[in-house]
Amino acid sequence: MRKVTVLPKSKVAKREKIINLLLGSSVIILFLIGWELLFQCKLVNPLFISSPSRVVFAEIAIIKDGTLLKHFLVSAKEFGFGYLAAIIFGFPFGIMLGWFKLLKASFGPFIAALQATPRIALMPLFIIWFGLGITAKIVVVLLSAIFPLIVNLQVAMSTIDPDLVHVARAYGAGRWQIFRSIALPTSLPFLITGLRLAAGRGLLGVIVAEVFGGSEGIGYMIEYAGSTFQTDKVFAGVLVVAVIGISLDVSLDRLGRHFDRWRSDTAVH
Amino acid sequence: MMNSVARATHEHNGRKSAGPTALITPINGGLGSVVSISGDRPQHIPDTRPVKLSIKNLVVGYLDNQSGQTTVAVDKVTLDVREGEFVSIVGLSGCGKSTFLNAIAGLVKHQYGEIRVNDQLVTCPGKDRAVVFQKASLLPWRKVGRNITYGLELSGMKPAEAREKASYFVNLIRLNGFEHHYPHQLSGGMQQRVNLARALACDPEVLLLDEPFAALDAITRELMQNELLELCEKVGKTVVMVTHQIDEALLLSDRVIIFSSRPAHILDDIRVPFPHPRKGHIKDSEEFRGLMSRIWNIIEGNANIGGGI
Repeated sequence: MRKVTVLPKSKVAKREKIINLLLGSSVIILFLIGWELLFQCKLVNPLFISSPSRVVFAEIAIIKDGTLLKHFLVSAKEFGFGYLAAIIFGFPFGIMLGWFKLLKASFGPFIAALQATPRIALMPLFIIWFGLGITAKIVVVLLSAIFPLIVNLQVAMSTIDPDLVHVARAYGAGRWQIFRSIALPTSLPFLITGLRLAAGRGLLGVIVAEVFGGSEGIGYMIEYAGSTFQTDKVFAGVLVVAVIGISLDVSLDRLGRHFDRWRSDTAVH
Repeated sequence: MMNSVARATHEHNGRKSAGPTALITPINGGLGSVVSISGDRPQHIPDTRPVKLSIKNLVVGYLDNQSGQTTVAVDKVTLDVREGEFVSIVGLSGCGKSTFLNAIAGLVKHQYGEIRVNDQLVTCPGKDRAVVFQKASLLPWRKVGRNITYGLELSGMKPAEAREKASYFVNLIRLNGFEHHYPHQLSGGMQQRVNLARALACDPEVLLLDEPFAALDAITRELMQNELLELCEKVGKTVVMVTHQIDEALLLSDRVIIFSSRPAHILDDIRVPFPHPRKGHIKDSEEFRGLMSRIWNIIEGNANIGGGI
């Protein structure tokens, strides 16, 4: 019975998915064609806008001569360390803030204030403290990525079903057992959401920090290309950042779906 | 038909007694024994089964956070439940019967008196008791199989070992084949069966049921009552059930305890004369209806005095 009712639904969903994909990609293609035409017909100064084909050539060029790889590795290192540190500190801290009410009362306002401060505005300070090397960038990534994690995990703890805790207590569960068997599984979807938001913020942080100061990384590459009027190379750099951002988001989304199979709206059997 | 040793002993203890307020209705039991209904506990023929759950002068109160006053929910309740006995507690909603059950479970602290299971004092939740709440409250991210073993895992058992131990009850409650379903894929009745299996898997000394079928639709409820009846006759557990349904209490129990409106004390302790194994159709009998109206009259009388409704 169940399968009979589910199948047509998924078919409809599939068709809808294909239509949406077609619509979405046709707008992008139209945009690229228009852009190329604008360039080819010389309607705007080519120096300002470059063109899709020139961006592709620039992309190939920076891949071939190894500039992209060199800068990519630096940015990846900065992002990786910062992101990891954000998880290592943010995960337990967010959980504890949600779990212990006193902790939330004490640290809540401080965190809200920190969160409202634009981290990148502190970049000059970080440069004074940590220099122009990768440490200052790691700190920026850490500070950009940690708050979505803290906030999401804190919210996760408040969504714990009290009935489940009641049952666990009735079966003699201690605080640690309640935490492990109920709080942690509850927090998982929130952790994934937090990780996705953190990835976006962290990526933004690393690029802006590199644009701000330094001598390596994709942000620096973009900034340098811009100041030397290599617009095609600017776009080539931006494209790389966009691809990284999208693939991070998609893979985290996949991971989330994997852990979300028990939910009624995503589970398909 | 299957019948546990405990039940069999109970049959032989079918007794005749008369109390001051007793409504004596001789009933011809299925096994030929003559049993009578009495409002009082029998004094002259003692029940030889050991006392499993003993509650003495239990007082449970709680602090109302809004008014800052202490409310007494259970007032000096004394009750003995013998091994293999199925005891139901009925009363108006909010009379304190759920609080009473939670106190036995160890989830609510009592202020006075004592609760003993197998002569051991109860102060906190423990392995010797398992509760089935009105809401199934299954862990949604665990499949049925691992929901059933949840209680066992909390007591420190390895999942594989717990599965082995629980498999008997999975079969008994006819959940085999559903172990790999998630709770949301099951109907309300099935979820409640998993809830029951989770409690039974722990093999508790006393099984506590807190309005276990109240959230189900009428038809499922009837079916589940019959199933629980059959199940209890098979496993012979000591059970304390809180319910609003007088017919449910009568069908399943050996004794029905009637609680007064808050603060709860015992108004009456009625022995249910129907012999085991019982079938759902005893609800249609004259005696059953007589008992129902008798219990109802007691509850209603109390409500009118206390203005409880």
